[in-house]
Amino acid sequence: MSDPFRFLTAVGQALATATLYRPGHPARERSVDAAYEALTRLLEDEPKPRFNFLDGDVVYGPQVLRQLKDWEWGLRLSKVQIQRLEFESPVPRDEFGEFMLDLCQRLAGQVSDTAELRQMRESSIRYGPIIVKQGEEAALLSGGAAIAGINYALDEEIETINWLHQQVQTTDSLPLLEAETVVRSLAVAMHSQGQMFMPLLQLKEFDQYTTTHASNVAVLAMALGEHLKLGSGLVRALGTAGLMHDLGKVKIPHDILVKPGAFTDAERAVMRRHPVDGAKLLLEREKGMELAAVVAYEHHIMLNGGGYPSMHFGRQCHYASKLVHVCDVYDALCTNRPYREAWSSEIALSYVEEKAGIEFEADIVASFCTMMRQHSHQRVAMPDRAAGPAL
Amino acid sequence: MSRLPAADERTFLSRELSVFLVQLSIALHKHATYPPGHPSLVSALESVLDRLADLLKDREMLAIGISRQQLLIEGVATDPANPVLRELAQRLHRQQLGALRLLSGVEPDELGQVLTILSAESLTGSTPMGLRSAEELNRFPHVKLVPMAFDQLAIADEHSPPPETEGRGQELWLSLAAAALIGTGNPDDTVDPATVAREINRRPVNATYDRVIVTYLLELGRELKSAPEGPSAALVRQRVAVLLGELRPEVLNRLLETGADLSQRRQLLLDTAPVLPVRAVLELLRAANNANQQTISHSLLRILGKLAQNVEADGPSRIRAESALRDVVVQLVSGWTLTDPNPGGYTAVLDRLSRATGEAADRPDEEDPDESLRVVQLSVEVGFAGDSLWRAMDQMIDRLQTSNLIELLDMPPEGTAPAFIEACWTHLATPHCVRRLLLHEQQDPQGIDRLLNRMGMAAAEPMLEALEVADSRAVRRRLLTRLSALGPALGPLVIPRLTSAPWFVQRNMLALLGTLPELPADFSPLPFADHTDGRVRREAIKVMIRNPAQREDGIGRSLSDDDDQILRMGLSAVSEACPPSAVGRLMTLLNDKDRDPEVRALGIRALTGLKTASVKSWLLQHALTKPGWFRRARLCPRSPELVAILVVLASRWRDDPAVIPVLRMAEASADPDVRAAARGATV
Repeated sequence: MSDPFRFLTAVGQALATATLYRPGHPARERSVDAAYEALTRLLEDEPKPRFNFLDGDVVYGPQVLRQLKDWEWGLRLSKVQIQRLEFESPVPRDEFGEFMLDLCQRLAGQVSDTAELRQMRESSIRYGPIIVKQGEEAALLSGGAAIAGINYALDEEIETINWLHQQVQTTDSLPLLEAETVVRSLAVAMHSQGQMFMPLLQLKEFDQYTTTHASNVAVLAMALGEHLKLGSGLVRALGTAGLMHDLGKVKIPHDILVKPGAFTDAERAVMRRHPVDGAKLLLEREKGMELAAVVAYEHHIMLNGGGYPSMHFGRQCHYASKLVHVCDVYDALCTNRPYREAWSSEIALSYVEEKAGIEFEADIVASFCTMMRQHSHQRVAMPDRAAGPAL
Repeated sequence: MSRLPAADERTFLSRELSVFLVQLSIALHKHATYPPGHPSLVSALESVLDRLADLLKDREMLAIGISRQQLLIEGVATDPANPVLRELAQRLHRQQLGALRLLSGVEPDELGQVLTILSAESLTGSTPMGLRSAEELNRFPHVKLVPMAFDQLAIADEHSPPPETEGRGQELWLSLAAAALIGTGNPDDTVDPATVAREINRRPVNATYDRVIVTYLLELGRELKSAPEGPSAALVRQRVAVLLGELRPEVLNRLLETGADLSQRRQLLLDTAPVLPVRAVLELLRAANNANQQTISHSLLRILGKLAQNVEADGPSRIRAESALRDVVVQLVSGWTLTDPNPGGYTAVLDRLSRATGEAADRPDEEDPDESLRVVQLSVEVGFAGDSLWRAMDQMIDRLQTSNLIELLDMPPEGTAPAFIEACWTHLATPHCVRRLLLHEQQDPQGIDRLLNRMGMAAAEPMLEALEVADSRAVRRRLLTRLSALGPALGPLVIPRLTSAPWFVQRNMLALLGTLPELPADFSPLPFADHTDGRVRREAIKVMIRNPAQREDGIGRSLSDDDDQILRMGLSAVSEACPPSAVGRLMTLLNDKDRDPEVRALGIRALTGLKTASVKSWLLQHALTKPGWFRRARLCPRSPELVAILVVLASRWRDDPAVIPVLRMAEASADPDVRAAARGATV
């Protein structure tokens, strides 16, 4: 049995075992160990093995593995947007374990938890979707549409968002005026081209995630608000809510936030407190942040009731929460992660559409996708500060 | 009108100027007091002329600005606490003059005429000088009387264009320029803002000078804010902007620090932020912020600077950027008056200013009633009690959703701190909430009961307040039921409300006392049993009848009362047990043929408890007609009284030989009510 075949077979067995046993169960761990052992052998021959799962074929490097024609797990992985899998030696065992856990979760239909999209070290395992352009297979390794020119740098906004987070962390106070001014300035940026465009930031370094994500969600939420023809005050309120939706993360201990490996149950519980903590921080404001607090609290709750936190009093999530939820997940998917490249805008939109009516409000998804496709050519990845042109 | 800055310890009005102003004041006073030609007038005039001659030795002109309490002379304002100078300012201000200019060469006759005119009070009926024609104002060659074009200082430069064409803003600008350039002897340059700025930059530190400049800036700010758009306003805006841009930052800081207090700095920015060019607004903001010794975050200043750049770049988002910048500055500055300016409190200022924005009004949580419920649900779920929760709860109370609110508090998530729920109840269980619910009980009927049950005696006061003014019988009844359920402990709360209260309050409180199982020991309803208003008497007597110790007295009073309802109440009590002392009064009442038959019937039924021969005799006598010569006695015609008599006879004397024939006659009657009464049935 060839090493790639052996390895994929072991992966398939591990995935099948995972459907029977809970995480941490010895049987499950044994199957992961077996897959890891197969990978180790594979890496001895090929330090950078690469697999593609395309239309029922499993391609290893340039070679189609005929033994795995219509391999069940290949089809299933492809369906959950894992169409390419790359390894680079050495691969640590714990990293491989996390990878397998993530595969299991994706195959089980569990959505990407944007709260866990945290700072991490670079990974030796990369996986994600691919697209075929003009007959040429090309890995999708960019954060979205083409990077257009921009005449409105967001250095000041980013700096202010960073400062806001620091203020909340160190003084427990929330400088609301600065937050609102950032939103106003982002709104100005969105119209600096003469027609609406979305100055979305592309993550350059993982420790920028909180900041860039906050800015992007604010921009997306405002853009969607405008697309839905909401009033200017409401659009700005959506922008503020988008900017603040993950504010509770400032309460998460740094070592958990930057932990490279999988979370323990206790750590996951801490991570999942951020909607509650964010809501509390925002409710502490004297007035005017109720909507942002509601959104911070509800933005991980799915349409079908899944997600977290669980609401004690049964109710529908606020429309703004549903709106920000879509923007939040979309931006998270389009963001580089240590173990996978950012999804393309189109693939992320497809994912969001797939989850419409289950995780997301269908009407909002429809409007969001229409807007993103309509404006995708204007979607801009911001240059980093050093390279960014001054205003 | 704001007060002009007075001379302080660093800058005094020169002695020569002070003495001159005092002499001028004396001369005016004398001209008002003495008739023309009086020797005192001559000496006063000479004194003024002498001082003026000294002053005009090194000046071509002496200009005196006039405000309500102060004079401004050579950039220095007089002390408003100085009674002589204040009186002089007031006198000239009453003449509606903005300024007085004295030129070299003034003659005694000329000044004498001026003093005579100015000393004449407008109270005498003469037209104030400031309102007279230009011809009259300009008739003196060496004394110029400048009308008051506005209620602040305005020393109009003779080179300035006429107000009709340039407007008040232009005048203010010229006045500012004149004040800034005072002593330079270069009035031609006064319209050039760069020149004015250079002069202000050049001046040594002088608090009074700074205050004068800032006073004009404040006035200009007000004027620019309210002036209609036009070339003149645009010109002034531009000049002020250039001035602010040309002032050295440290000079602008100093002007705002020494020339204005916090509220003035705030006002200046509020007035100018919407109208001045954005760069000038930022200059002012920085300076005012420094003067306030506050720290606007570096981040905020950077974004504001960026927005200003965007405005100046005049790109597609210029309008958005401009609006954002001006709004943010106004928001920021609005908070400055709300707290002490200290770095530690800056966050609190920012906190508050967020409330001052009108923007919140169009947020969904402000408008959608469901959002209040959502905020309460969220707050309970996260266990956060604060202003946002209280506001949402208040909105729910106002919208009569109290029962929903109580449901939430009754079913908190597991692990919710009892102190949190208690805090919520403390906020909810208030007199305001009870009052609100009582007023609109129909819309939220469950809410009030649940709230009252929860509150217990704490709800007594608001309910008593509601009862005091309840004019609906149904509302009163419900309140009485709920209040009486609180038991005897309520009594001491009720008694103080009786004294000196309007009749309806007394009525309601007595009604409440009547429902309590026992009365307070020190309370007697007797004083109210003689009340002129029958409604109060009725409740008082009702209380008396309920009380065994006062029952007999109460019945006696009720049977003697002219009020039909009180009488019926007494008769009803008598029918249960008639005290002996009431029998006489009762019989008198029964013999009164003018009484309402229904009342008499009620009285007859009350006789049921009195089985005496005299009562039987009275009943038989009133049941039968008098027998005639050829006629036997017959049953009286049917009436309420007859029916009542038959009922009493049938129930108490059915077997009495004297009664039997009467009952037989009745049983043979064609009237079913009469027959029924004879059988003892109550009809």
